[in-house]
Amino acid sequence: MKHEMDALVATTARLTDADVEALALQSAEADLMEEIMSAPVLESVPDVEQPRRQWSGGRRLTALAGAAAVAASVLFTVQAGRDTGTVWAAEVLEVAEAAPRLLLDHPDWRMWHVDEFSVDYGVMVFTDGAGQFQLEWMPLAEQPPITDSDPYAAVEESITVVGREAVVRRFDPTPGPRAEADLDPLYDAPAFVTEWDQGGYRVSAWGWAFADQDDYEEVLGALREVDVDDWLSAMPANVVRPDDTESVVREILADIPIPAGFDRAGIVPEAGVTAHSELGARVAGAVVCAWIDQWITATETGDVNAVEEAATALAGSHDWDVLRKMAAGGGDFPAVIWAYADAVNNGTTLPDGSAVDEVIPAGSVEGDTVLTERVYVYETALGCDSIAEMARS
Amino acid sequence: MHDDVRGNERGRRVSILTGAAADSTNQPAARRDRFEALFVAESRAILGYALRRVDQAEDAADVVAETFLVAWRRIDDVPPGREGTLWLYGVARRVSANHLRGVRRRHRLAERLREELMTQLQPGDNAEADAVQLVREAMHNLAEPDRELLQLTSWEGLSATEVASVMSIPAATVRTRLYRARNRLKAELAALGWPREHPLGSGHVGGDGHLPVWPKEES
Repeated sequence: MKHEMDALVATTARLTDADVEALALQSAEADLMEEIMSAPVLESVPDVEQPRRQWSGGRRLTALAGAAAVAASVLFTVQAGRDTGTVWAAEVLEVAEAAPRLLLDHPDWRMWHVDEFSVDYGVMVFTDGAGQFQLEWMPLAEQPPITDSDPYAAVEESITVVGREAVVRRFDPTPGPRAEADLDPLYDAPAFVTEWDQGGYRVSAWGWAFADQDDYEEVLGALREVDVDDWLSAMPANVVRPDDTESVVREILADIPIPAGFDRAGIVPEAGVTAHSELGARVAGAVVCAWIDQWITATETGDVNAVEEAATALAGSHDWDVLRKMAAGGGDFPAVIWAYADAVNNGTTLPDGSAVDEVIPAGSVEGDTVLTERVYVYETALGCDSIAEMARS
Repeated sequence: MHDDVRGNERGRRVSILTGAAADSTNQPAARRDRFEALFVAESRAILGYALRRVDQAEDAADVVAETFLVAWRRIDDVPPGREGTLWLYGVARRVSANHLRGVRRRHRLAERLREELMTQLQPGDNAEADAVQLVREAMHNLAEPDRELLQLTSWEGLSATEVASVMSIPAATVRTRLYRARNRLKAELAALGWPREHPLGSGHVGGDGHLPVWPKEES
């Protein structure tokens, strides 16, 4: 049986899988398959070492909502030890002084990754190697009272967490048969969430893949309020702190040619903790956007040298250290960049058949917005617009 | 200003297209075998994904064609097993999104499939149970990411981890968002007067090979 809401959503599907299976399309499909296989395969020359990787985050070929999306699929390791005497940047201090500063003080549990880190919203995930414990904070003003009953909860109980009144809920996994390959130990075990209010925030502590409520509550009981230094020092090791962002950007750009007039300063984020991968995507993305812009403009104006320069720079992106590392770590952003680099250099379209200079015309509807001017598809695909926006903000 | 413009030999390390004359006999047999197996196993799943998201049934042919064209060209990058299916969903998601925002491409190679879909899936009886319309309206009122999460979970039957893979977001985030999206949908339904007295019928029509299934959706 599906979750009640999922079952309702299912009724809005125009066709079920069974409907689709019943269509008599075998002959047309066979034609299509043969037609596709007559198209050329994008293949690497033998001396190119393709970054092979485990598929962890799915291939994000869709428009990136921002370079931050790239970081989301990358799992971070844990910082060992504490950087004593650190002087924290004002932006980070602002978060630390406002948000609930909580850490798990438990021998088996360690901080795993931080997905969001701002005054308004934060997500930190802890793990013991099997289960996950996720702390989330958000402004209290937007939240209903914690005591509001949840119809989907199997258990709702009052509890005290870090000295505050809280409600713990248990959600049982969606019943019904699953193929063994689909079994997800996190999703198929009960989920626990405890919510409480703390200093103007609603804090949620999610527990996944716990054996039972006692196990979850044992970990919940290990939450401690800590001071600013302890809290910030516990951030994962490859989270870049603003005071060393500049040097990391320099390091990223060490093997990346940048076009004339490129605004280096504009790509350095001003606030918050930024993961290496996010910063790498932002920097590499900004440079690639600038090169593609130059290539398109120079192609239109017939500036052969500028076309050649941009194409050469883009061809070299296969060697950029930041992209190679990102690809090896499971990031999908490099594949998108390389698709553009290859299309520019081979004089071909992208794998989906679109041209490098393809535009979304003015008047098109993007979400809830009607475009008032044309937008290049690459700007959306590579997140150029959001990179520029982030730099401005 | 050119910081560190290195002397890359043009094309030395770039990808090349093989078989430019579309001579499929040059393709290694293993690649063809792999693609054929992938296509046979997954083309209906991707077609279903597309049919549930495009306004005109025949447009799904282009989504399928484009998705598998990407898979063929990147066949060495397609992961094995279930991960390969999720990879395809990820591509189909992007292709559909492009399609919905007007970046449409008519694929010559999809012509026959398009014709078949036009023939077999005719716009017809748009009658739909009031209850289904109400759920559809409630879904429409959700933010797109919430709607997409619920659809991938319900329509494609993906687990949270699989949705995370397709949408490239952490699984923990999917679980949190899914939990909230379900509650938001429930709230939207309540605001629209759910539950109604009408029994909830099937929103789709049985697979008899001729399906009048295209109620026009406000967008």
